[in-house]
Amino acid sequence: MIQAGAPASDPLAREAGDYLLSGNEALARAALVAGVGFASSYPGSPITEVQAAMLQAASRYGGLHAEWSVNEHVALHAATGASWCGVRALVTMKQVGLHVASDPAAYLAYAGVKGGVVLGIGLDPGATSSTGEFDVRWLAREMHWIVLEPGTVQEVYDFARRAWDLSEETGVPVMIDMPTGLCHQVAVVRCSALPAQPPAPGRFVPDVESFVNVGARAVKNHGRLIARLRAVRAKGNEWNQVAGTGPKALIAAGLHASLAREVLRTLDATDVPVLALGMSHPVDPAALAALVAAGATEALVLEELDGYLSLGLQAAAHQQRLPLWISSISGEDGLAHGPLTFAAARTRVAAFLGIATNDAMGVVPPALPDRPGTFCPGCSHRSPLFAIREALGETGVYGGDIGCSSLPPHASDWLTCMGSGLGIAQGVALASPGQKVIASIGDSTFYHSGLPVVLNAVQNGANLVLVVLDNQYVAMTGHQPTPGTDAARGGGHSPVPIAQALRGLGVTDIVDVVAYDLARVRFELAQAMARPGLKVLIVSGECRLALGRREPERIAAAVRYAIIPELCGRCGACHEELSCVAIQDLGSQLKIDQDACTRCGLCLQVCTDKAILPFRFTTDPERA
Amino acid sequence: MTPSEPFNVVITGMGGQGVLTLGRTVATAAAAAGWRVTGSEKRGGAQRGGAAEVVLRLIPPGGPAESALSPAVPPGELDLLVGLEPIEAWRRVALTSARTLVLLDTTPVEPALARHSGYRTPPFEEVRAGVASAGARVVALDLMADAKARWGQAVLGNLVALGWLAAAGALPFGGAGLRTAAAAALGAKGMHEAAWAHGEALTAVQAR
Repeated sequence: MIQAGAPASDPLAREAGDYLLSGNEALARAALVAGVGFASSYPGSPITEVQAAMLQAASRYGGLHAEWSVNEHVALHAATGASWCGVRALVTMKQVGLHVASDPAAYLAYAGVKGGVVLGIGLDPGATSSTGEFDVRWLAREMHWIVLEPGTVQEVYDFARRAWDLSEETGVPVMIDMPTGLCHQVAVVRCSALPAQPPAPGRFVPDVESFVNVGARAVKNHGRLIARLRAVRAKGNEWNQVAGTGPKALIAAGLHASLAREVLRTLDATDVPVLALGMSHPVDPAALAALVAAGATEALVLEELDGYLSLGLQAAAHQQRLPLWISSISGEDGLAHGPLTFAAARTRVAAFLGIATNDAMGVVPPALPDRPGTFCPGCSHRSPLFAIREALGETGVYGGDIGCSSLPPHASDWLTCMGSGLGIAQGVALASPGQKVIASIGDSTFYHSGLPVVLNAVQNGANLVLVVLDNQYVAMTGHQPTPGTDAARGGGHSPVPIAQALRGLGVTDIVDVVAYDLARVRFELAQAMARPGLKVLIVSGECRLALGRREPERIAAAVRYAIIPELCGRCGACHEELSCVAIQDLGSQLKIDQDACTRCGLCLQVCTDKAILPFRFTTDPERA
Repeated sequence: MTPSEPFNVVITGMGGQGVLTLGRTVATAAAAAGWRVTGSEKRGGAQRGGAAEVVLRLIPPGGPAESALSPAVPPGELDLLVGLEPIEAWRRVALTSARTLVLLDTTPVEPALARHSGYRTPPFEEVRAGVASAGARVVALDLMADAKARWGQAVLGNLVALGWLAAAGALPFGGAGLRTAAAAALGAKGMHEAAWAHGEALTAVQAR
């Protein structure tokens, strides 16, 4: 129990104490306490804040290398190198990042760790900040990683504190399941002090039998890994808990364990046995045997998505010939989509336990419009996307990519994974030569996965336009630097400009244009579309949010714009087509919100009535 | 609510309104008063005009373990709902019931992309009725727009809200800690005495 007293607010302070932490901050704090010396990551919601904290710690305390890697694949490989020098490593990425890093992940388990490796993986049931809700814990099974399932912020800290020991004792890398609801959970957490000494540098010691994982040696290492996992499985009782007695039980992992307990409280059924799995892979059958010993003959698994948990548990019960019938809240085939809500869980649990409920579970509000994120006022992506849609008309094809440019309302014809814009577009251009094709890619995605895609387009003679949207940051996740970000904007000391990278990949048709000059963007786009081969248009403009923070006086001093109501014919170009949120519809007239406007001037350039005027007066002409 | 049950709070609004800071201030004050705190912060896309929300489950001494509380508030079990933007509060009506107190800003803000759907932002009284439809007691105050008019910064509406919550006794652990926590969260420079005092004074207006 936490003692009374104000919690400490600095999550990275040296001292032991009670800290108000998010799940993300708790993972970073645990890594520092565990003596992690290497932290690598590619930013991705919901887990970006872990590495942000590690970078802060690295600059405050030294002895720790923390980096925003170019992509997740490199991040995990680099951490593997650190591990093989005996240095403890933390890697964080969102769920789709593990798809990118799956090769290094699979080989790390075969070859084994030296310094412990922990991977914090940001799952996103409901795809609140993702293009998919993939449950990548399935990959842990294929790759034979250990999966830990903390359910509270304190458990994130406590589990992670032990995770590097577990990884080193067993030689197996450890994945910590961090769904959005846990990353952004906040609680007061009891924490130990940071070590007095910074982590020591390591030394690479050759281990050919482990690291040169080829042929018969790969098979042998696979066998060794299985033996290691069996040893881990036998220690499942250190992570799993059973409480309660009765014939019908609930099983859950992580956040869903607390959901199960609270559902039972609201059903006044707190005696029902609950198995809370703190380790979901490998599954320890002793946990199921403990449920049977508690009197259970039937169990319902509370889980989300595709039955990762229930299928493993059903297999374990079958293999052990346990008299326990296990079903899943995800349905008879264990397949479900979308997040598990409290109301849905309660209804299903009540039916399972045979408890009658007559509650309507609250008043349902009418259908209210969503409030998704959209382009900020002054976004440098607005003009190129406006021009692309205009240039393509009804029949052209537009391949979009991950990042701020994917935000509504500027919808592309597809949006899947990193690199999919140009990747798919080159196939479309080759398969459908009669259609105009434009692809776009943000600067960070360009470095992350665009480089080989561009090279492939060059090598195969793709005939299309690629628009690189360069806002100079990984803006979507909070302005982390890209390999192109200069030192003044928080980047490294040897930035690689996009044009330079393109030339190195063999692109010869490259045009640079400033985002806020719409006429120029339109002109260069039209010119490029008329030329054969792969044409690249680099449209640059520093993210306006970042610029506003870096140089607020520059935006404050810039020319302002106002809509003159008498001239405005409500053509919709600025308000609907450009969709600038600083332009408000007051019913009788449109008005520019001067607090929200960042003076980019794009509305003036699209206005068909010449109703938008620049002004430098201190008095707002709309009020005059 | 019996004394050992958690006190459930939702603070909701738009990115940039100070929802997360308000949430951390309440959480810090609760912890300082000896309550345990768990909850969640929703911030995805918030800085781009998206919605932001904080859920807090404040556990009194002797209350249940954090691991027995779901991150979401069960329907009907919300004790305090602060809507810095009233349409966002309406979305959470399923969590409210007769036990809920709602502090509601009076200016609905059109969702950024509603212009493409033909949605018309409802007048405040319609939103208010929706928020109250599960039986909650609703106190409507002009927080953000009034703060913008008075001090030039809408975000100070947060401090007005905090001053009101403290003076109205809307939180079960006393209001003094809120002021300390607000000063710590915002720094001496950010702590705007006039906004706080205005919030306190508004409780008198409500009482009449």
